[in-house]
Amino acid sequence: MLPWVEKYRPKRLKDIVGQNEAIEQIMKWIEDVRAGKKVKPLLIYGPAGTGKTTAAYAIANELGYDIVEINCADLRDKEKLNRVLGGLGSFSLIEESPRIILFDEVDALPAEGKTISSLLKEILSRGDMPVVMTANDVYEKHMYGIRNLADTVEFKKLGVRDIVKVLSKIATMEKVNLPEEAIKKIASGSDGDLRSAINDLQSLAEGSADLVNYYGKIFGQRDREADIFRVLGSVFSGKYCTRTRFLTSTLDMDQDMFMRWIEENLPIAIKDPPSLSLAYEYVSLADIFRSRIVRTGNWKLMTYINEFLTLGVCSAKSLSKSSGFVKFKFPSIIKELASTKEERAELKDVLRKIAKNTHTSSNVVRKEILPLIAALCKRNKDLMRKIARDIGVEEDQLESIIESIKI
Amino acid sequence: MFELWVEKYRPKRLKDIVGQDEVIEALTGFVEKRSMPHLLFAGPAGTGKTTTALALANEIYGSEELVSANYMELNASDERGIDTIRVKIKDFAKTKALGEVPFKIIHLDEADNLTSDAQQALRRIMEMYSSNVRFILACNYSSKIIDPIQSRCAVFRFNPLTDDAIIKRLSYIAEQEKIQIGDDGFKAIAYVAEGDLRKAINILQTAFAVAKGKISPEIVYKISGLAMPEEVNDIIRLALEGQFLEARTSVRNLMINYGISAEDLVRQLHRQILQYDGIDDVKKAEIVSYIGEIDFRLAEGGNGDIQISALLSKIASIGRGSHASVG
Repeated sequence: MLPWVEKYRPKRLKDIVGQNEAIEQIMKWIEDVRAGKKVKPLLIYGPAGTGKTTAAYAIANELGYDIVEINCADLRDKEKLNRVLGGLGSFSLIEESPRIILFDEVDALPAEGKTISSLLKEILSRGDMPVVMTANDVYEKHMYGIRNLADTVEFKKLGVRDIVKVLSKIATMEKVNLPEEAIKKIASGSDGDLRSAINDLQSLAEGSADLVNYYGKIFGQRDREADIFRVLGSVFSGKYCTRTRFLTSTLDMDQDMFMRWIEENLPIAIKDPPSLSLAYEYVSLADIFRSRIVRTGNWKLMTYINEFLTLGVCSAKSLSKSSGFVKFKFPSIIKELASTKEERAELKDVLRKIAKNTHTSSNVVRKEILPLIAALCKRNKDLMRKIARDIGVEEDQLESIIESIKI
Repeated sequence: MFELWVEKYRPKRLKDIVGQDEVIEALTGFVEKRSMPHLLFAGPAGTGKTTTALALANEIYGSEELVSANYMELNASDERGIDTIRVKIKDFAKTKALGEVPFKIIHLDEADNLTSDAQQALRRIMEMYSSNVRFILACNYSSKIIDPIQSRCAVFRFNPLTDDAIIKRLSYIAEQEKIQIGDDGFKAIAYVAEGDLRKAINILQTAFAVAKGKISPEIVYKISGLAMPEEVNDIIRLALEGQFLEARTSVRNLMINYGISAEDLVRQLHRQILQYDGIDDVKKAEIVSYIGEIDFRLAEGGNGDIQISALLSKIASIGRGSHASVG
């Protein structure tokens, strides 16, 4: 049975969802190819599952060209690279339909990256084959050379609304009966990755995963908790504090996450304000050291972070009189940040667009201009529509942001 | 966005800009000679830096069409880093200026938000394109701009506007828009705007949209305290009463759901603590000293919610009258 991601892969550019600006840019590029102009390679970049490779195939389809796909993750050794180079050279000997070359995942190339640049230059110098490349991140250092050679097109993370739309359509076509809630859950859990969302939908529908399991996958990390609970138990016992610093070495968790676990449970384990404040002081210091390491690259300081979070917090607890059984909690802020990620990203996007239109920054917009727009629009829906159009956002997007502002 | 009065009443010509006479006089000379060096505009928010840059472009280029082709605006704090800025500048700079114009202009706002490494990169970018591009950098503090950039720019200082200058401009707008507002209303706006004309105009319009009838000082204060002083007071009260978990939940809510920045929240906590009735001066002083420390840690790159929670736990501890300390 065909995977749904293949079955429902759009054949035409206009059927790709959520990338209107990018598609417009691509259409122009295609027109140039059609007009026989010499075009730069097209570099499509963006997060996974947003339609980059689909777009490349759709481009070939629109042009009526054959596509030669080269997955750059396979180009890592010299031998393969030479084979590909040789293969490309032979194309011109055979008369057949014109070709487009797709370099998939160019950012997967080794950091020295010269190979691809020279390969590209060779293809470009012949000027007879348009080149399309895809990548997740083009702002990495080793991408500099490629980025400079190409026309870049950004694919954005898909919004929950767009993903829900696609999933619902597929569910209808496949006659799958799923509650709307489940579809929304898949969409919001996919973090803007349509491919993974469609895969999840299919595995749900085909019974290879049940709903309970699915939710478990999102919020899970259950195998990890056993360990962290043991470490927390020792740190918050307030005893043998010097020894607690060794516990984290076997903990399968990064330091930031560990800090979040400690912080979440501080006020649960330590009740009296002086000890709590002392413990918080250590967490605050750990946090500052983390930032210092990022800024200075001085990794030796890592050991202090660990000691603040274990020895420091444990010692604060040892001063505290509170005792008794403590039920530790998962850091709720992680969940909150994750569940409001979409909204916060939307807000940020709208703030920036308004900033561009008012010659200010998103900071000023958030503090002064958004409240003003909210005050103006609450009485006047026509004005809201006009402003949404002027700044280039969806009406309901602006409306939901305005409603969240108390004025 | 001409619904917004800041846009509608933004002066188009240099001579219409208020409160910066010396700066304007010097810049008018550049327009006449159609030549200028890179410029650095330094001064607080809402004193006319962006407006001046726009007006300058208007007068040099002469038509809206030429302005939009030859003038680009970037905000350093809204871009993804110096690399994206570099790409945008490069794309803009490499094409020839359109029409009979002497150079293109790039206005980079909030340049003091760039790290010194990024500023070094910016310096090289400025040099690379100086044949056909002039940069106008804007910042709040010129001391945060590295020397090599300062030395390549003519530096202009923008002063905070006086209350009189602000009220004069507000009166003009009020007259045009037929708003009912008395002297006390104007004074209240000027008081909260602290020399920031953009903020003053935004408050005037927000107050007008909210008020039914005349704009009173009460409405003005209510609007300008947008991060809700009562909520900040509640947080302080909860912390002092030892209800730490509740206080932490409120803080997270303000930060995550209302997008209030940690820096703003610290500033507000600071203001409200000073006015808070329930604690004596000794404790107040102690709390303020710790607020200062947390403000500094935030500037060093600390996590907003962790640092503010640490501050709250300190307030709770000081509220009880006894506390332990690390140092």
